[in-house]
Amino acid sequence: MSFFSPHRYGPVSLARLTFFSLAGVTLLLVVTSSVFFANISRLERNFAASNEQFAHQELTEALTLMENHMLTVAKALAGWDETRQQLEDPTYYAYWRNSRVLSSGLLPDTTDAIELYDVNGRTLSKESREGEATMPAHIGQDNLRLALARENGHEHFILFFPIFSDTGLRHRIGYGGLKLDFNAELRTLRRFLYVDMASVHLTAQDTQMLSLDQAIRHLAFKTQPSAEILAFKSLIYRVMYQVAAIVLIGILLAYFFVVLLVAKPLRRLSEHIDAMRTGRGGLLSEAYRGPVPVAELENVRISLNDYQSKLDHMHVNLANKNEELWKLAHHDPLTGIFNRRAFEEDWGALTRPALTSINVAFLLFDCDHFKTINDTYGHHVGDQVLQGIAEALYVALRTGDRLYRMGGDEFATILYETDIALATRVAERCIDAVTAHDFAAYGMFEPVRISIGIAHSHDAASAALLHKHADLAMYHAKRPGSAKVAVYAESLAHSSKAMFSSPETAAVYAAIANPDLLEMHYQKIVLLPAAEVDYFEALVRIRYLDSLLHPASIFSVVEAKRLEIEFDLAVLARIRQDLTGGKLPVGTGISINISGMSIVTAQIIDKLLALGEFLDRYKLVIEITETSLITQISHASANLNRLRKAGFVIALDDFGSGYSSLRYLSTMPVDVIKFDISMVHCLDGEDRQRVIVENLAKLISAAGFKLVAEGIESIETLQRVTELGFTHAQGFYLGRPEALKR
Amino acid sequence: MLSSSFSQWLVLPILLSACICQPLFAEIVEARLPAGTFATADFRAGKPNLPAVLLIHGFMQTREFPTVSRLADGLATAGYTTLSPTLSLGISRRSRSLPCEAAHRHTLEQDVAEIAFWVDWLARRKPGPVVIVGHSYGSLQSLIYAANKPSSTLRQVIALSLVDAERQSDPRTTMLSEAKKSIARGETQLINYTLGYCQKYVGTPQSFLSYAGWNRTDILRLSRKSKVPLEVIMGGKDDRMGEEWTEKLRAAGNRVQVISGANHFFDAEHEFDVLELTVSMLKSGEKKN
Repeated sequence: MSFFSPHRYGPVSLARLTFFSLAGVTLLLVVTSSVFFANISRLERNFAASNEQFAHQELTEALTLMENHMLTVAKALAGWDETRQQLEDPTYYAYWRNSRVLSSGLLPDTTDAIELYDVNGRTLSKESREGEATMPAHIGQDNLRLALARENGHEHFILFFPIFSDTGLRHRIGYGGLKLDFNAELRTLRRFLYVDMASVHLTAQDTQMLSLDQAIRHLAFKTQPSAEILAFKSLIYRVMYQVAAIVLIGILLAYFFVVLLVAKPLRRLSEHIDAMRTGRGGLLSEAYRGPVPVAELENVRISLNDYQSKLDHMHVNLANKNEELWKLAHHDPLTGIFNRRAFEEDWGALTRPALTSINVAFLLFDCDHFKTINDTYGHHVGDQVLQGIAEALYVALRTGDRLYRMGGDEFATILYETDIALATRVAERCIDAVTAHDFAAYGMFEPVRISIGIAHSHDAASAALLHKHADLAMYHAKRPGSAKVAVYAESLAHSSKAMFSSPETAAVYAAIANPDLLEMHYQKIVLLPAAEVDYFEALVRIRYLDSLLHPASIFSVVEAKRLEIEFDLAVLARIRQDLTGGKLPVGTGISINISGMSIVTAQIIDKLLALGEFLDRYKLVIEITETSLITQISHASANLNRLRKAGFVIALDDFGSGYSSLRYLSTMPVDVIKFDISMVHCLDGEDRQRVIVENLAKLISAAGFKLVAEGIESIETLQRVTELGFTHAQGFYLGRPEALKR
Repeated sequence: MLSSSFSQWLVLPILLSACICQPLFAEIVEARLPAGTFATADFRAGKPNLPAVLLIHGFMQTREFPTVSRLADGLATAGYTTLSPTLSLGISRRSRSLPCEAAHRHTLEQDVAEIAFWVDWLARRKPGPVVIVGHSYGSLQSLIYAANKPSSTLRQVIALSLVDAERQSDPRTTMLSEAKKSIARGETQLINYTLGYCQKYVGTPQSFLSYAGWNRTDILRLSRKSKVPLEVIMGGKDDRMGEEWTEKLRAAGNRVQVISGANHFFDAEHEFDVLELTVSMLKSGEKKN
């Protein structure tokens, strides 16, 4: 991970990043300036060393100039007429010395003192003078030279020179003495570039006279920085300060503009995006309005607004879709009322633990004999019946009450803030509404009735059991002879307990899970008239907890729990074991009962076709009920034809027990018609039913179907069916169902 | 009065011949004056048959003063023996004009004595007549010499721009009176006076009085008293002595020539006129003798 990885310290804001960047630039500027100033200082030191040499040379040259200048002055003074005048007649020497010579223009302005001496070296002055301007009263030959002396902390050039009366310098008439201010004189002689004249001083003692050679060694001075260097340094500093000021101003402006033009709009964009992100799908109240000065950010803003606009549009569409999906998810497509999902959500809200006190009634509606209606009139009519029931119930319920389709022909509603009496009145109004509905418009001739179970609860704890209680009440209402509206009570619970929590239910589930629990009993079906065993009908039993359950107990649970397919798969597995185990005599066969739901299930068909491997040794008959065949005649017919082609024989079971129709019979892909036991018993009577059955048997037999008579319990019945042309017979007289033993 | 153009044509051949025949550079002679002071002079030897000319410069000037120097050159070139001394004014080998502010102890009498010395010196160096040509105050000093026991060799005095030391604005009477009182009291200190062109003449009362004591009446009187002929050349624009001065001089019996347009110093083209007139006067003086 790099040092600047955003994962290390987290992302940094643009304004802070800009600040740090500009601070870095400033630091770089400071460092660069420091290096630059250090180089300038080094250059200064080099120049200072050079200046020291130049200054020394400059001072030496100045002293030489000084010497020449003083000699020139001395020469002019010595040659001046009035000087000689004083030496010849010093009567007015004081006037000459104090005024005349000073205004003569011969002496430099730096003159501190002047004196004339006679040829013996004695001063012409008759009065003594004190202070800097004093000159010695007497001089000797050794004084005739240029010297540098320090007096009272002040340096002077002092020159004593001879004065001659003639131009040939043969007649010496006296001497002159001249004292000049050292520092001021040097300043007038030349311009000093390197010597700081204010600092020049003589290190000798007062009154000590030094020759020029000696003076050079005793002069102390400081150098003054080169004017060019000072100007250059000043220029550099000024430029640097200006550049620094410009850069700093630029940095501040850059920071200001970056913050103003980039960071601020970017922050607004970021906040806007964050608002969109944290909006939990809600629409933002407004878009990011107002132009942004930076083109790229303006494009981002426009894109963001476009994106937001599209997102809003998508959001609206999504909301509509969600609403539509919710509606689809929570409504039954057939009836338009709420479905089981909606019920479960409402039910969840109703039974949530937070609710401690409720007063609710749960009504469960179920159409009586809907399966029969469906089997008789087909699904289309069945659907119309369901729509009609839903419409009637919806009208009968109070405004705001929700009606749910729980599945199949089962409906439900939850009545809030309702007592049992009110719930009962609503239920009765529902009964009346359904009764009043015109179901004949769907082509039905029978009336449609519903049964209603009501459960009521005062608290959340018991509310969880409302559905179960209403279910029990509803089944109680369905009992023949019962009122069509039943309200759950403890007594109902005890009577229905067997149905809902019986060992049979457990046995069915256990058998589905483990087909070995199934015990197949086989009942002979004999071929007439010889009454020889042709094949066996496989009848299922469940051996569970040391008891044997019979089909009446088994199929009530299977149908109630809609376990037809699972149970048929278990039975087929068990029969395959029996066939594989060779329990049946070779040459006989097995007749297998298949539910209506299974006959249209590919998995069942595949399992059946897999049994085809036994067709070379056994006859395999598939028994289906008339109702199951009618319900899905097209799909069922296709599957049956596949089985027939594979070698299976198709038998129509329980013919005459339902809404049997000869028109259907003629088109059904079946080979065998099994007359229901109720039809066969009619043959024992003397009434019109017997005639019908006899003729019906003859008619069907004439149509080419093989006929099986069920319920043969006596020799007379056997003989009669034999006479009527039945090809097979089955019943206790011929043999009870029993387990095969090898 | 001669015109300038004519004098130029006259002098030019003289100068040309002088360039060929005469030395251009003067001999500097030095002499110890009776007072002990050393004095110097330029000497140019001329033709023996021509009179020697002693040129006396103006007040506190030197022989280097242009009017005198040019005239000396011109006369020397013309063949005249010339001697141009610098009056010492009490200063040995004085080489520059003495400023007004210098300590003046010298007197007019000393100056006249030096003129007498140089006349004698010249007579010894070049025997024969001597003519003094003085300029400005030197004319007065020469006239004083001529009027008081001059050398027998002195034949003529030519005064150029003959003036006294008087100025119309001078508080002359008062200063003269004060000077006399100071002298009477024996005072010798230096006093600031106004004298001639000097607004601040720093000198002893004796010095001041010796120069300032001579007025115009004295000049006219001296001219009449002079032992030798006095001829005067004045500048037409020299107004120092007033408009009537020329006439007064003539009235005193002096021959006066006026060079038209010339100032006190005969500058520029008038140097030729003054030279021409001087030569002319020298020649006329020779004829008279």
